[in-house]
Amino acid sequence: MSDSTGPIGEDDLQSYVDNQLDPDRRRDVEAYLTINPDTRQGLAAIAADGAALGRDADERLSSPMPTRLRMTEIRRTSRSNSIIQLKQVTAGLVLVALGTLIGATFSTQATNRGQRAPMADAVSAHRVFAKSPEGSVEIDGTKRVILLSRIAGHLGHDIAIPDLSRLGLTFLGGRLLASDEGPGGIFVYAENNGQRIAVYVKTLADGRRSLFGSRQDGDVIAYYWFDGRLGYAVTGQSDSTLVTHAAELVRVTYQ
Amino acid sequence: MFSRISDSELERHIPALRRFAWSLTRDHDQADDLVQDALLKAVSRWAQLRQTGSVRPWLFQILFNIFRAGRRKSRPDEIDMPTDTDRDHPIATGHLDDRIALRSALDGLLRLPEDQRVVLELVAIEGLTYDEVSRIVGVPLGTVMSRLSRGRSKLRELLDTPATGQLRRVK
Repeated sequence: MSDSTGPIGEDDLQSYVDNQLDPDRRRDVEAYLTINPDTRQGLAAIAADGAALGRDADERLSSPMPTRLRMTEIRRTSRSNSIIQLKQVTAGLVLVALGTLIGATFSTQATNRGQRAPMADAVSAHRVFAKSPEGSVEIDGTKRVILLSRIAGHLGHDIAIPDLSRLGLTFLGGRLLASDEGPGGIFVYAENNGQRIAVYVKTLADGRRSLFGSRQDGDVIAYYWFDGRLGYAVTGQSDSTLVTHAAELVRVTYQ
Repeated sequence: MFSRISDSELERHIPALRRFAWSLTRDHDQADDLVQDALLKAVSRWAQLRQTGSVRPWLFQILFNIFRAGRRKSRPDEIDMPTDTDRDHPIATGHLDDRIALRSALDGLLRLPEDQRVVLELVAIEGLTYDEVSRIVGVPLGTVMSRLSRGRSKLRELLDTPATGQLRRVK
């Protein structure tokens, strides 16, 4: 802490006492103290106070450590706390399971979506349409207007093509898809290293909403959310550093 | 950092945590309660450590956060350490004669306003870096520095040892 240039300030003096100066600055301070003996004396007193504090503090430690602070005890307490929590969670899960069972029994519209991981269709689409280096887009990135009108018509909703160029991603194009809930579409982008990031959009069967979620499926990671009209997913290779940023940007685009 | 923190690694820091907790609470039982809570939180949140880096400042931060949260709950009228850097806080007990009764540097430390005392203690006794203290206390580096500087000069006035020949009076 302190500028490493400029006149010696209070910060430098404190940092000198605490031995938190870099060697160059330390030399500067030492030179300064040579010609300012009063300051040097003041700092020596401060350092002596610090040493006295340390000694006193050590004396304060004389009271023996209670058993409950031993790590074996802490772990034991922690375990019994988590067993209590686990019981609570289990109780909650039993209720949810019961509810699901009842719901499923009486539901006339049993779909198999309930048993699939969220946005599993987006991950499949990424594997099939985005992962191959050639990138099998149906309508390439130069025909944005055509792509937009086709996808919007297909989904029955206006939809923008997210601009991810500021992350260094190149828009390759997109295609119409059939999702497990109805019409869908995918926009495909390329990272500089050739890896693909895809933005997947689909209509929803039930108008559900959710916050931002993420899921890793093999080597593909998907970030997804549902806004009541459409479901969105941003997918990419799980080792890519850009997927998270892309997902954030896409979420802002579609807000 | 992906493996669990070992018990011996944590145990090494317990004396320092107790020391700090005592100075916050001034009560041995409460201090040990605080340390116990901090350790419980630490073992259940060890994964957090990946972002924080080293164990020692992380433990201090957990403990200090629990202390502050507990105080907010129990004494809603007396909350909040002053966070502004400019105001000069009065010394807790302001009689001149108190100086005579100071038995040790520690007595002096305990008379400092809490915001200065905490910073001084973390730096001078526990040997944490300014950056670490800034994170633990949750104030900018510049504030840490000014609290440290003011705390030290106030402590100096309180102790006013003949060694330096200073006879500045405490008001």
